[in-house]
Amino acid sequence: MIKVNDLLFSYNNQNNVINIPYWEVVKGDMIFIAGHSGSGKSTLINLLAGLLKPDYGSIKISNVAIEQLKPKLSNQFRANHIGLISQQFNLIPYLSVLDNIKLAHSFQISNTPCKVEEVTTLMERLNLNTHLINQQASELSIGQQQRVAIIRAIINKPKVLLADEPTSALDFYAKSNFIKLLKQVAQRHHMTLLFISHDVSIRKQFPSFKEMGEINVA
Amino acid sequence: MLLKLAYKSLLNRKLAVFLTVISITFGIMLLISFGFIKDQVKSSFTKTISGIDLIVGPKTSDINLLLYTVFHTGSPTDNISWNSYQQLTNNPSVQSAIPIALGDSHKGYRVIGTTKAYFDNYQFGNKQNLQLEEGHWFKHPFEIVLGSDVVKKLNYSLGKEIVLSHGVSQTSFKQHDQIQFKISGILEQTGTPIDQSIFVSLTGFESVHINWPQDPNAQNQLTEHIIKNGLQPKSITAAFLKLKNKSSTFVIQRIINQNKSEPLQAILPGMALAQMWNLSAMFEKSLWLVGAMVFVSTLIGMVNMLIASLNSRKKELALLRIIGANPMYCFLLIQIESIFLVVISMLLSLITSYLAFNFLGEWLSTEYGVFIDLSTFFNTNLIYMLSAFIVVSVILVCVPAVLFYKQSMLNNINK
Repeated sequence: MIKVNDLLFSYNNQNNVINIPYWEVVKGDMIFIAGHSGSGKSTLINLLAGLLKPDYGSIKISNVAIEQLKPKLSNQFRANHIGLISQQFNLIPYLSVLDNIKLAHSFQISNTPCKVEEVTTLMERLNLNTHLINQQASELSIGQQQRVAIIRAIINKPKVLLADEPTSALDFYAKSNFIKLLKQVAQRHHMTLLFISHDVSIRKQFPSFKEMGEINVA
Repeated sequence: MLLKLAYKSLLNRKLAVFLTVISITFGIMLLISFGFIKDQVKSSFTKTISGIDLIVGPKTSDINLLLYTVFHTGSPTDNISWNSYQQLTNNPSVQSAIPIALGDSHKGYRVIGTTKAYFDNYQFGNKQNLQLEEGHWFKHPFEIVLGSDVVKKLNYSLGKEIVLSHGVSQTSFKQHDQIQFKISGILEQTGTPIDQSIFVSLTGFESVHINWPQDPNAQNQLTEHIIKNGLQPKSITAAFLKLKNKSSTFVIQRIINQNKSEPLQAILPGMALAQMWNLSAMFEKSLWLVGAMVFVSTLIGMVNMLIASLNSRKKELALLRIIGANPMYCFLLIQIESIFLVVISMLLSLITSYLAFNFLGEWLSTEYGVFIDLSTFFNTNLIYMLSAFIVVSVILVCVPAVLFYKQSMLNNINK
């Protein structure tokens, strides 16, 4: 699913932040990647999402070398095949739940409209009250926002789900529930899940675990 | 979705957006109002006189002759003799001639000595004739007809008797108080200088300039003589000519200008009006410039508002990029937001300007003689102006839009 070869990346051509000689993730895998601050976790997510271009090497997702894609195609590829969940950038606060999800769907390459039924089904699956569909995102609780962020990330049925420290603001029980939910969603939709966090206490909840240092030799 | 996002984003910043819209609305209103009033003034100005082919007076500049005969402002340089006027009336090409005698006033309003030909032949606007609102045109030498503004300002009514003053200033040291003139008619409003004029017969005008005896009996006899026989003036200030055939206008003008018995000047009112309007072109351009600067400064206000919002919207831009938006999407988002603001401001300024002119139209015509024709409010010039507003705003908003574009390029999950 994900194949990384000889990947080098540095900010402003200074010391390499990322140096991955080889790394492969198989389809449907759910990996927890842990690393201390500054170990390049978020940079790796940005590279995998096509938001940053590597200095050298290649990243293949479903056999597509994303670093070679032109900006327009790269954005389209991200919209279609990569779902991103982060701690900070969850939802646009002034849009409703439905509009936040529709917005993500609007960047999908196929022009099929986002069906409300599809959204409500996902909401039900994630134990989110469907009455909240027209509620403004800023009026939701943190837990509800996280669930909406998951729906938004999976609405385009991506192949890869990237989660960057999504639980850092949650307490232990909320973390546990959120991870359980995320794993269920990834499993049901046959997605590959990369969960990145500095909090190693949750590593047992994932079938695979990697230290950033095992992947990144920089 | 982009439109909805822009709309919701603006709604999310209601106060800043409201203040920006108000500021742009005032800027656009200023320009719309200036353009419309200018058109109305020009229309009122060029329609001050119509149906008159030539204005004849003593040798002077075209504009001066036009000013004192039509706009009743400025001073005549000389008079033309009654004989010359008679020659003009006897010219076979002349259909009708209107004599004009000036030099007196009443409480600052100019008195025009003339004949019934003035009432019958003078036209304004789209060849509209003078109409009486009340009473009748003077039949008696000591009857007088007032323009509508004179009546409103002085609060006069039919039958009131007034005296004339020598000279045209507001305060006169010489009153022609030998004769009381009775108001016989009041003209309907025209939106031209006629509204601020007083009309009297040539005989009446002449009679205040003769030497009156001190003896009351002799005065009565002279009055009766004047009423019975009239008084023929020796000279008049100018004359309006209506020709039988318009194609002969230039020929007659040349003949009059080359008159050997007395130096005369004939002008075409339309050409003189155009010359006069052109004199104000510089002033008009300056006003346009000031208006445009006000408009641009309000747009700069909008640009500032958008730039100021950039910091608080970094997260929003990052999120858009994460879910697949390209930088151009962010650029367009800002452009659409600004177009929303400008279009809303335009609609508001159009509605407010239209309503304002609707309410203030009568006041403008009474106070300034500017007739507001609201049927011409929505014209092609307005459409050009509004299109220009959008183009200028799109160009100016490129600055914050490019900043948003660049910011979105930098944004990734780390930021």
